[in-house]
Amino acid sequence: MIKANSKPLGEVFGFIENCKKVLVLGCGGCATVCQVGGEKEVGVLAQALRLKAGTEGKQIEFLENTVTRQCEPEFVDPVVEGLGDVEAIVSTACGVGVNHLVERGCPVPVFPGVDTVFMGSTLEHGEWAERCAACGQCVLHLTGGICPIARCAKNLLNGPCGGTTEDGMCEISTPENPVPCAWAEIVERMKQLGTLQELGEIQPPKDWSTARDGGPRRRVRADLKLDRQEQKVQS
Amino acid sequence: MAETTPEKTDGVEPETHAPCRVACPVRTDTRGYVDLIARGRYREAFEKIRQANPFPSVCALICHHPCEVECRRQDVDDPVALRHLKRFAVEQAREYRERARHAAEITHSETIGVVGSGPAGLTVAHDCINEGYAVTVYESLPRAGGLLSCSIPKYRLPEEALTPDLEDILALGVEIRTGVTVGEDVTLQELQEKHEAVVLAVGLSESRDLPLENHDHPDVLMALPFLCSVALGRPPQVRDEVIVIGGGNVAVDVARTCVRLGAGTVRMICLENEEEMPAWEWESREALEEGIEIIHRRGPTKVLIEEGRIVGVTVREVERVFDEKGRFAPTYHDDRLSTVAGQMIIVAIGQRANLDLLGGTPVRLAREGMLQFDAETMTTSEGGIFACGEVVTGPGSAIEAVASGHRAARAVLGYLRTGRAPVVEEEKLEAVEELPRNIIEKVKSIPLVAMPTLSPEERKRSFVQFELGYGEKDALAEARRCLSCAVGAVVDEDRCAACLTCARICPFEVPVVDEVARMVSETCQSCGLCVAECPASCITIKRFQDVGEIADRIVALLQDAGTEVTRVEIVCSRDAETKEKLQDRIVKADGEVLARVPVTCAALAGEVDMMKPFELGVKAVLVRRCRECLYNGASKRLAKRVGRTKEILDAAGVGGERLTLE
Repeated sequence: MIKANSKPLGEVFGFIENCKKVLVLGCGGCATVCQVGGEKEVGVLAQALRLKAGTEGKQIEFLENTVTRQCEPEFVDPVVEGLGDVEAIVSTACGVGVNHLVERGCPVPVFPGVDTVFMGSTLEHGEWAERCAACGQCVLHLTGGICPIARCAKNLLNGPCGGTTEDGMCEISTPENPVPCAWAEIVERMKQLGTLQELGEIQPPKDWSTARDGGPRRRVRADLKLDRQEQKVQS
Repeated sequence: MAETTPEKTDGVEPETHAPCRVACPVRTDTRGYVDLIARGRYREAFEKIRQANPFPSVCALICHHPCEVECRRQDVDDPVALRHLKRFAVEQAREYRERARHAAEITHSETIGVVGSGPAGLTVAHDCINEGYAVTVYESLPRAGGLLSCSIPKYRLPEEALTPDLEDILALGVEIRTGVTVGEDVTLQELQEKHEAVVLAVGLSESRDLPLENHDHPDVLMALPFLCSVALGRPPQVRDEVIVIGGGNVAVDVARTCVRLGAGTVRMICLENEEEMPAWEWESREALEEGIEIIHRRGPTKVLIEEGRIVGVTVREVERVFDEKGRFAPTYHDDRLSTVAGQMIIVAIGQRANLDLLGGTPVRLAREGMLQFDAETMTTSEGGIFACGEVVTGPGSAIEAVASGHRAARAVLGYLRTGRAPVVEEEKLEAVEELPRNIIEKVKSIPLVAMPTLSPEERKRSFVQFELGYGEKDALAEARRCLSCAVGAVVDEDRCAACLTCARICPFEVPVVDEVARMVSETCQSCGLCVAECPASCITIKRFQDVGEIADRIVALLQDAGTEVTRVEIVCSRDAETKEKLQDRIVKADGEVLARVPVTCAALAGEVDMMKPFELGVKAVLVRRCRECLYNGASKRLAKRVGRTKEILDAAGVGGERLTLE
């Protein structure tokens, strides 16, 4: 799922310091699971902003709400339509939520309450790591299920660079942010699977047009799409 | 009527119930009143007890407490002392109870006559008058209460314990006509003419005789008349050595009464061995403590008389008491005889009903002098005449008689409304499963708070109640031992993100997460740690639903303070020894005005709870843990949460140093 970090309180406060009424809007999806923007964190951020407003001598009212997912029209439209005299939204969803609120016609500014960082998995409670870069052309079948795009700093497809340490770490690794060399892990995994010889096949240069490099992406499933008459939600 | 439906709290209805409640014949919300005691809300605890039982004071002293037998705490250490806690609640509510007495409003023209003023009969009266029917109770003895007032010795049930229960019922407007024997002073037919419904709750008021050789000697007494004469202040002269025949609770009562009347030696003779003996284990233990000898597996055959005086009984050895099918069918070794010495014999081998009042009436008897009775409708063979209590159930406890009375009342009320006695459905409640082994290992042991009692030497000398009662500190400590079965965490599945936080941090490994989190009620210990940690704020604890959020309580307290509060303290209540310390309150100390909010575990305090006071102008917030947390990891999680909140307070310009954790 998508992972994010809380933005520094001062930065978020700077977005809305001149407003009188602000909605802190949470997301019940990924942001809840990664403990950054669900109902609890909305309460924490709203309360922190109230305190900050107090110490800054500002009179700001903070409302709180959390929707099931901010990336779905049906969940955000009622919020957008019911803003009343709210002057700004601070969204604690990932960046998708902020974009989506704007796309759904939000009449007031929408500010990010979090920094979206990656798609990843949980290593243990309170620790997550990036595991997918959404490159649009998956190569995991070639690399023992370990992604060289998301997990190698250089996105190498044909083995490690010269920067792997003796204990299998990437040269960018630090004690605070230990980064195992993805290729060291790939080799170990494929040894374990008995498929190491497959790495002898040289991979051609990757077509990055399916990744971010090809520009913003859109996905269409024609079989799922509803006719205009069938649509309950206006796009 | 007794409120026996499952408790409903904010739309959440527990599917399973605490085993203590299920075990109680009247479904007392035992766990509920213990929890209220633990929170210092003694009056509400008393009301909860009385909701199901019009004899709270009596049962607080003499109930055989089946609730304790089923208490799941016994798998960890000892069951919670529920009866002692009940007594504490009753004692705390004494004045409130007197003030709260009121007459019931009579709204119906039909009246009900009840024969017998024991717990069954008076429960019928209580329930029916509360439904607007006038009730008259006929009691042949000179005082109300049936065997409660005339056979249970005062050292177990002093008059001052019975009186408040009787006063409550009298205050409702129930008329109790004592000294009136139905069948002699008034006939059953006359009662039928006077009342639209009659309830026979005559109990088992006579002792069964034992036709031994020489049993007609004046120093061979029957248990119930003996106990009754003691209760009425006319105790017979006991001899130096007394033999009590029987091994049940009445026999123990008789033996212990004889000790108090000055008998030098009291010997009980019973057919059963220690395990088989029908008296409650604690009763026979207390009897032994008082020096009473219990001679097991002997059956008397003959009263021995020399020069007109009893000198003992001949007994023979028991071969077996029960047959292969477990039925009472004693056999003896007729050749193994011995003598037990004594100058007085009291026979306590069981009771039977006196049904003389039915002579010449159409009410039919069944086998062995019992009433012909339909247990489903609580009716006798005669329309409009109902029965309840020991006369139909056989020998039992006071609370079972109350339960029977509740059932009869429902039958009578249905009959008066429809003209037909309805089937009184037995209420089925499902008890929560046993504590699993892995949970038993994780629950911390807390020693039972012993009930202070008079020493055996002291109590032998008088009829003073020998259990002295819990003080407040004791009661709070004991009430906190309750595991709060079946009122733990509940997940709002619509909001649950299945994030697994609860499963990862639960000290008892309770939550099971698949599509959403599920809390397993038989294992949850309702510590509330998951509530504070859930990122979707979708978990509540059933037990705390009436308490409210900590932040809201702080706001309410500060609003009502009437003065500027300098410091808010969120305090674990586990060390509290008085009810005052369990209440949200303003305290003035050392020039500071403090707002104290007690919580059942300090780890319930969330970031917002710790930040909110600063928004309201408070200078400092303190979170205080108890001396020894019951929940593994809770204290550590709280410390991390406090650390994070300090960072937020720094970022907000409030200053993290103003929040402290003790």
